Amino acid sequence: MRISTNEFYQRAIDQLTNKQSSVADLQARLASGKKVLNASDAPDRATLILRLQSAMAQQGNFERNLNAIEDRMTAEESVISSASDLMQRVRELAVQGSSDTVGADGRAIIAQEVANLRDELFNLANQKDANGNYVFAGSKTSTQPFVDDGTGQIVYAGDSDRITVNVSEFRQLTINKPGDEVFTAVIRDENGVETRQSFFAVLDDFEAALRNNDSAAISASFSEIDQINKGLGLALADTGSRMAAVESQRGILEETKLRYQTLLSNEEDLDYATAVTELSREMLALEAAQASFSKVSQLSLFNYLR
Amino acid sequence: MSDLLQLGANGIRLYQSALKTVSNNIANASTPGYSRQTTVISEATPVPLDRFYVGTGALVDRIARAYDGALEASLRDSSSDLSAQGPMIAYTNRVLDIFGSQAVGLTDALDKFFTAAENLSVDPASSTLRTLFLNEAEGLAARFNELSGQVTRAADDSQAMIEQDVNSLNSLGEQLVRVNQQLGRKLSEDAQPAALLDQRDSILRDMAAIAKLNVETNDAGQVTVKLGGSSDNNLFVTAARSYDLSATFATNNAGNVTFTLDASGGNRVIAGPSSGTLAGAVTFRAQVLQPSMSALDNLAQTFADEVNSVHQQGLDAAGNAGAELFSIDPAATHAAGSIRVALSNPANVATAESLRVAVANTNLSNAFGRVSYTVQPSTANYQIRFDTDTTYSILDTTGALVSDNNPYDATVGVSFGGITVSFSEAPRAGDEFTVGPNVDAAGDNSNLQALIDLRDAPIINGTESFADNYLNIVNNVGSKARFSEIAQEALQVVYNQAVDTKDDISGVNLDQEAADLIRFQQAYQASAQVIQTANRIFDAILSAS
Repeated sequence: MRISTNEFYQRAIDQLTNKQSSVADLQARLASGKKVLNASDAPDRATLILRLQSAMAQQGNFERNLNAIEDRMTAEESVISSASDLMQRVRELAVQGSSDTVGADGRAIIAQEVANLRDELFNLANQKDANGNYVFAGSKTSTQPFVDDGTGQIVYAGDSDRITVNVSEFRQLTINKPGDEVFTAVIRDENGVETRQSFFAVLDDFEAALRNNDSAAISASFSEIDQINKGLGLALADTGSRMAAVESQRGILEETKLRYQTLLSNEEDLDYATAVTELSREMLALEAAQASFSKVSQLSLFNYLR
Repeated sequence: MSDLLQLGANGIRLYQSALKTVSNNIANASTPGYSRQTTVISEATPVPLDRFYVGTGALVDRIARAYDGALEASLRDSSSDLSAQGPMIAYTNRVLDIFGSQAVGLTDALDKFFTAAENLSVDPASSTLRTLFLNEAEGLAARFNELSGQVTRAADDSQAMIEQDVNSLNSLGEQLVRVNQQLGRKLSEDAQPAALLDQRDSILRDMAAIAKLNVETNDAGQVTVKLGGSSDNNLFVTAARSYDLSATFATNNAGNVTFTLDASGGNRVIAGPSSGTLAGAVTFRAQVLQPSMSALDNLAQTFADEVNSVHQQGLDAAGNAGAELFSIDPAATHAAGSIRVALSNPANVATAESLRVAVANTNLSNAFGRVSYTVQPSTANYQIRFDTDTTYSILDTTGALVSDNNPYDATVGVSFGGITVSFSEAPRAGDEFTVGPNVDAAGDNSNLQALIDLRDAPIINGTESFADNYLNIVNNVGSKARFSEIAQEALQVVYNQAVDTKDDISGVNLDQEAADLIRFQQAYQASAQVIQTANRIFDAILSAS
């Protein structure tokens, strides 16, 4: 089969330029460290990489949320813990005040301390976090949770909303604890009639009972103080267990992040060893093509005609 | 002797001619479209002498052009098929590189939007985080706009390319008609000047790269070219004249390109060419551009609708019902190009849910209520009062009784006014719960969570999330690109083979010409020797007397 001189050169040029573009492409990939420079290099791989990056971004979100929860809970825990310590003192005073030997004057002094402790507890209950939101108001974070209802009674003005944030695709954790589940109320039964008495009402009544030197009222307060103390204890335990849940979720998150990172790296990152080998091979082919072309193109019958 | 002289002179002229042809071949070795020429030498008619015939030398029958019409046609067709892939690959890859880019594609903007929402969900009261959320919403809308713009630009560019190709085709048609007219001067193709035929074939090959041709050749070598079919309706160039091709583009469908021949006269609408760069560009518009554009617009519209629907169910920082977060101009041609953020005040981001169940301070149980509904009610304001542990009454805002003695079933909850309230534990007699607007809920992120849930929800066609749908668009574009690249590789092989086969017949090989040069040179020298011999014989005769 004949081949025209024109075609011979054209073919050689085509092959040389193809090889050159392979070499250039490999070089660009080595320089960037990425297997896929443009989506058009490997379309199916490009979409997989996009999916993985999306998943990684989402894991980042979950991590941030976990951090935020942890911050909130640390603040919550410190407040509840302080409140618990204060309530311990109140309980001690209750024990003291129940004994008749203390006398009316002694009880008046105890009443004063109870009043101070109650004020401190009131401040703790109305604590704000670093962003200026009330910690124990449920979702009404700009409304003071424990307020005077006008009659001297402290009532809970927050709500029972649980604010949840996403910590994984399947799991949400609650970031807050409503105030009325920390500073719990009690049910008081007076002659068969049950009423709800708030946390601070219990303390106020205890203070009043002390000032009135009313032993029966003091012992009634004693059991109520026990109840609200237990309520605080439960709240503290709950916060602790939620913090443990955060830690365990963090562990899962780390594993998931690592898994996605590995997958992403496999898809995206260049294997330098393979790429460098490929480059040498392509360069060798290019050199061979160039050398053979220069040799073969010199062959012409005209060289032998005088 | 005079015969001898004649024969020698004849030979010299003959081989001079042959050498000229060989030199012509050598000179045109690199001319594109040149077909090798050979001098066809045939024996001259012998004359009778006494009882036998004596030869009278040779003569040039004709200068033959090495040409095979079938191979030429096959080369044209494979050139059309191959060149159709070029625009398809180039434009498709361009769209793919934009849509599939990590930095410029939509997935990154979607991720940032939902990230801002997640960040806000931790502290919905924060005006900084609200502002950031609106910023990312604007970023997402801008990304939609940008992608839509890029696709529109690809449409404009491919339209310009098609128009340019049509112009080229028309001007080639005019050139072909001029060649046809010149060919009309002779009656048989063998008699035509080879250069003219080469020019004809070169024009045809250029045309074939643009659009697949249907070519018929008559005896004189004139060609009739038809486009997009083989009936008379498709006549593009005849022996006498050419018709103008024009392309019109539908405004609502990028893939709809109508080709018309002779728009100012017969106005014949034809089917588009089946291959060639024109076909490639039209295929790109129909199979890649239009589906991608409409899928992107559909995604933008659905995204805006779904997000707005959730957003309007919630309450903003002032306690007002959420307005539209995204707006799309209904009159715009492309939803993705006109999607905008409709909110400017961060306080208007509706993060809270609209209803709350308020617990009275006197309640004996610790139950709290959660609201659920299938269709959001426009308003709700009523009180649930438990008269006993197992029955309840409904009262309106003024305290008037609406219904009483309703049995309470913990598995069902309390249903009224399209709302179902479920309780965390058993309520007790005397407990009161007020269902009403969720005012002052600065820290409530329930509506925001509903928005965040849209991220992975199978919204589109009930199976795809927003990101899935977008990545499917990218995948479709990618697979079309890959398909065309594979086709191009295969068609390149076919084309190369066609070129080789044609070259086998028509190509100039310099080594072969060099050999012919030597051959004719020697034949020339031999003929010159014949003349010299005739001369010597004559001299001998003259000197003999």
